[in-house]
Amino acid sequence: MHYARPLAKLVGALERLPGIGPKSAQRLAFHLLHISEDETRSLIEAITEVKEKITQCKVCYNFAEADICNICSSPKREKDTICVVAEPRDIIAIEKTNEFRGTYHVLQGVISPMDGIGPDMLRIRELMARITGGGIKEIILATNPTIEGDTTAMYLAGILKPLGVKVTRIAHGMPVGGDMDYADQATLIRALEWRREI
Amino acid sequence: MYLTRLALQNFRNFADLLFHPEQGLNILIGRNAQGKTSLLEAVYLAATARSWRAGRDSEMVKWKAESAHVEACVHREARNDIDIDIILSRNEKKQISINTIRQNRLSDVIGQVNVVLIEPHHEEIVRGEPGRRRRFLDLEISQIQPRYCLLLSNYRRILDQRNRLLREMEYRPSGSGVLQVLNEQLASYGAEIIERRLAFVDRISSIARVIHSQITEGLEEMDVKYVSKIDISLPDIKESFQTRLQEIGSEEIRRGVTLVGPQRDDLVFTINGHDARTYASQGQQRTIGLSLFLAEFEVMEEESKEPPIVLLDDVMTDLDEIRRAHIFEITSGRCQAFLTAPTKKSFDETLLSAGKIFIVEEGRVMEE
Repeated sequence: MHYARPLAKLVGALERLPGIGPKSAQRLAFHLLHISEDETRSLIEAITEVKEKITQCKVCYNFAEADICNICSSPKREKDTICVVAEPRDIIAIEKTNEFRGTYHVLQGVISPMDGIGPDMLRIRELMARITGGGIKEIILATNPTIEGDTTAMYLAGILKPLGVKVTRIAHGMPVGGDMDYADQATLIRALEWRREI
Repeated sequence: MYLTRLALQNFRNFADLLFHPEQGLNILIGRNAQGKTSLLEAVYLAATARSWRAGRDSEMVKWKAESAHVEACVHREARNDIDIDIILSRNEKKQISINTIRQNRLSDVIGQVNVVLIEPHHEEIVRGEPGRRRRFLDLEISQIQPRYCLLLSNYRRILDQRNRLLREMEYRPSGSGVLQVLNEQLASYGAEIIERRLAFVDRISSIARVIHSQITEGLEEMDVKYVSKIDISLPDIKESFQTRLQEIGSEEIRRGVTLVGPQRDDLVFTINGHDARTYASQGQQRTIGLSLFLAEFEVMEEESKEPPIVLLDDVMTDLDEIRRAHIFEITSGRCQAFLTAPTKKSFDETLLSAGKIFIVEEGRVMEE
């Protein structure tokens, strides 16, 4: 290639990151070449620190700084409601609303035979253990409204309901404050199907 | 609805074309390989987001060009006018915009403009392979029901997941639990697809039967039946779909593939009660095909409250008077139509005077 060898190595490493193509990798690499030594050091430190200090919460499998994450250890959270999500980033989305008072459970994926992911590879056993441990009233299934998200939610409903908890699925429909005109047809059709009387 | 403007860049053999068709009948005359059919293809592409004859999108890109551009402006009576913009690249996915807004879902594109295409070998719908008849059903229903397009793509996704699981069942400890869920999803989407197909076949066949009877002067009676390995006579198709899946479960696991469902269903055409695929002559099969496409025009006009655009690719030449008259009935003033032929000699004066004649030559279109 046309890059000097260390630069080529950096571009190559950046290209492996999600959402980064050859062009972006090149732009980032050239940017990193120009930043000060302090900035370089703090970036390296941030990466090292995140690798050293972030672990998984032993209860909900979200990312955590300790064995138990802040949400699971907080006395202010209602422990009888568990919101089941596919990925840690889904928790961030829900937490931004500041409305949900319960706790979470991260499956770490969804059931997808095409990707070789079966229920046994997700944190389902751990979820069942939390329920059989007692004190749980409701499980909210908040996987994405995709085929695989639905498959996972239906599978979970099938095995969790016999445990005697209330199992709910988040609603799908029109984005609030959105324009009907801009909603795609899939969303509009679902919204019409799931309409409610007022 | 009618096309008011068609702009092509590097599409097939059109380097740069701006074409303003007539609101009524457009007669495209030209020798072979001059671009007549490619013009129809561009209109078809704008309506359905695909070609009926190109295996890959890149086939439509002009030789040595990087990408092709198709822009179609369509006036619609029942809805707002629409500009459809399609960029086809050699290596990337096609980009489709409607009124300059990028569209990512096929279901938001298909059905905005309706077309009916009649090909020279329209008997193929009767005697061709079953996949051809399923494609016909899927495309025509998608054009009038955007919901159908979504159902299809969801169904295919579930089918892919399920086939993969069936192939790998023995290595999957909780496979049967997941299979139960996928059965439920497959049956739910599949049953809705079958229900919509049944309703469509019902409608189109009742119209096609009348047209067919007129063409054959009452001598022959045609019928179309939807056939499935699932018991579709029962009121609850989802339930009968699931029952069937339970019955054949072990065979599906053994063979590693889903054996029933809309992806395996077919249409059977009959003449006077006999299977037209094996017992009808090519002429009889052609008449069925023509009746079906003419009926499609009627169904589409009813559904979208205005006539679709009709594309006739080199079909007039070898049709007799009575069949021509049926086509002429819809192309003379009822809709916008594009008709291709190698020479003007193929047509009589009445037809020629009803339309505007364009000469297609080496990727250019000229008014006569």
